[in-house]
Amino acid sequence: MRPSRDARRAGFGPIQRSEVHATNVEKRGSRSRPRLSDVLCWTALLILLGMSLLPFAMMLLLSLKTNADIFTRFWGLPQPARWDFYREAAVALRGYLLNTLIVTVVVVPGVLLFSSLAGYALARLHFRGRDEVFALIVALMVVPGILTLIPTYALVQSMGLLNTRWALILPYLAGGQVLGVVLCRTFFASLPDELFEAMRLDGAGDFQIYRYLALPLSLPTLATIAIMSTLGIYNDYIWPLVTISDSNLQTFTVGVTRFAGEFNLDYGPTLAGYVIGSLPLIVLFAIGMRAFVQGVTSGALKA
Amino acid sequence: MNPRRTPIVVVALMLAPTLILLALFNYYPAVLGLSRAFTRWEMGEDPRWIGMGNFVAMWHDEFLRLSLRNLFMLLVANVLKTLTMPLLVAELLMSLRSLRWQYILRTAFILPMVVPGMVTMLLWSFIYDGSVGLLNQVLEAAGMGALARSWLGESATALWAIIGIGFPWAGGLALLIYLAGLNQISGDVWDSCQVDGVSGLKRVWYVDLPLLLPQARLLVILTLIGTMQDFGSILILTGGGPGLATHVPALHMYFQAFRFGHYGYAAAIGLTLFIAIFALSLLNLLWGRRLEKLA
Repeated sequence: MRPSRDARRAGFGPIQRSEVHATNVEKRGSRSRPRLSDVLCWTALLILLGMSLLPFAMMLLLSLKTNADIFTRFWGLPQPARWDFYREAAVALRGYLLNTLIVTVVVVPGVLLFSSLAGYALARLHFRGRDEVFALIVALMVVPGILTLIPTYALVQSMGLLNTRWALILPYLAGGQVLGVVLCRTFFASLPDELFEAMRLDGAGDFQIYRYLALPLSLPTLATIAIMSTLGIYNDYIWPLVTISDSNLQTFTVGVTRFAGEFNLDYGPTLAGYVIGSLPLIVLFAIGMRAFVQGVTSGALKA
Repeated sequence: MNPRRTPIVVVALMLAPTLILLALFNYYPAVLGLSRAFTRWEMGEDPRWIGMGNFVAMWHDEFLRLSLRNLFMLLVANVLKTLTMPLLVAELLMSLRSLRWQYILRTAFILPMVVPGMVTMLLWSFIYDGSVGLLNQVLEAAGMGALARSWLGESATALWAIIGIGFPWAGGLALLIYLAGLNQISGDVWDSCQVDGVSGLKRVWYVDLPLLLPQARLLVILTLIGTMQDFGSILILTGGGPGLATHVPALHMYFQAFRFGHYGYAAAIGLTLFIAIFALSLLNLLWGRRLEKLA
């Protein structure tokens, strides 16, 4: 243990980066960790958590109640629970959810394939202009959607793709690759050269090295990219709103806003629909929480 | 590094799909967005060069000026939100004795992140509903039923209602980033604090906060960029109304393009927002450099 002079430096002076780098994760939760008062801590956390989750809890509760039940006994348990609202809502939302699923199933594997290929080429192949090409792709990260919304719309319109699935698939496929290529290249560049040299000495070509070495190793990175792409597609509102007018092709996010109007202030089935629409992402979260947390934090570095 | 060149065919095959897609759907629109801002370009017509004409029109656009005030309010509010509650929750979580509970509560706090954004928006429009909205019900239960109103429907409260979305703004990305930052702080630093009797709020203020500056910086810039661009939620909740009470520049751009067909003018608004975002990112970068030098 260092003498207290160091501690004072750590406490009141500017702190050297090197000290911070001496990260000691195992230390976390050890007895020496200073704490605020436990009771205070728990109380504050539980109150804040309760307030954060209250809207969602009420969504679940009210989704089972008829309007009359809501108006007379807002906070009470449903009497009787109207599970049929869920069937009603599912029927109304099925088409929209299916459309989102179709777009996702086409786009995400495409993003993974293309961005891992490009990431491999930019990290592991030797050719002139490699770094320049990568810089050009990274530069796209600072181009905000607000700048390209109208031109992309005009482009898709002139290609005759408005009101087709391609109007969603192609721009998503392109847009998803910016983060994808950057993450893949960073990952492939971090792998030790010896692995690649060993395979090359065995006579493997670049496509074989990509397929049998790079790709299997990059599965966690690919999972992160897949989750980010899926979230982006599922939550996008403006783009499908302006490019798709046929409700048979419309995605969930736009569809659910129309659905909310259809039930004409019948709150129960409407809220049941919100619950149903939330399930796919919650399932995804349950399956890949690690990749999800990694994804949203690495997505943040996009700025 | 091995200087041996890869055959150009292999390079081309691996890069072609990515480069073609990016050139067509990312680069071309970006360039178009820069150039079309200087044209008169109405729906169904060919663009015609008018130089700074759109920008002059923007200067005289009363709607745009009013929308800037709302945007400013939202920017300030959102930055305050991201700097306070998530940080508080991160500190509270870190001081929990049990790692297990820390993990469970963290998961619970980020759960609202997984609810689709649109569902959250629609849910909040239900919360603010004038008749059976959750907020009115809570007020009534607390004996303040007189305050009940249609929160999004009155100009006096609409913008505040938009700011209130997600209350108590405790979870989400900001929480994850603060937690990641706190976890990076070396255990030695915390040990030293304890040896020196620096604990509780004092430690948070003198040790944690300075060390979390990079995270806070990232979150501020992300919030600014996100707030300037976001208009989908406002479109859904109020459509910019009532009147112009929640109108913002990005929404103005959307209406100009997709409601009135003034593509050129909308592109000019888009370009201006891009320049503002770019300037902020640059400023942020320079600020980061200066901080590094200080350290």
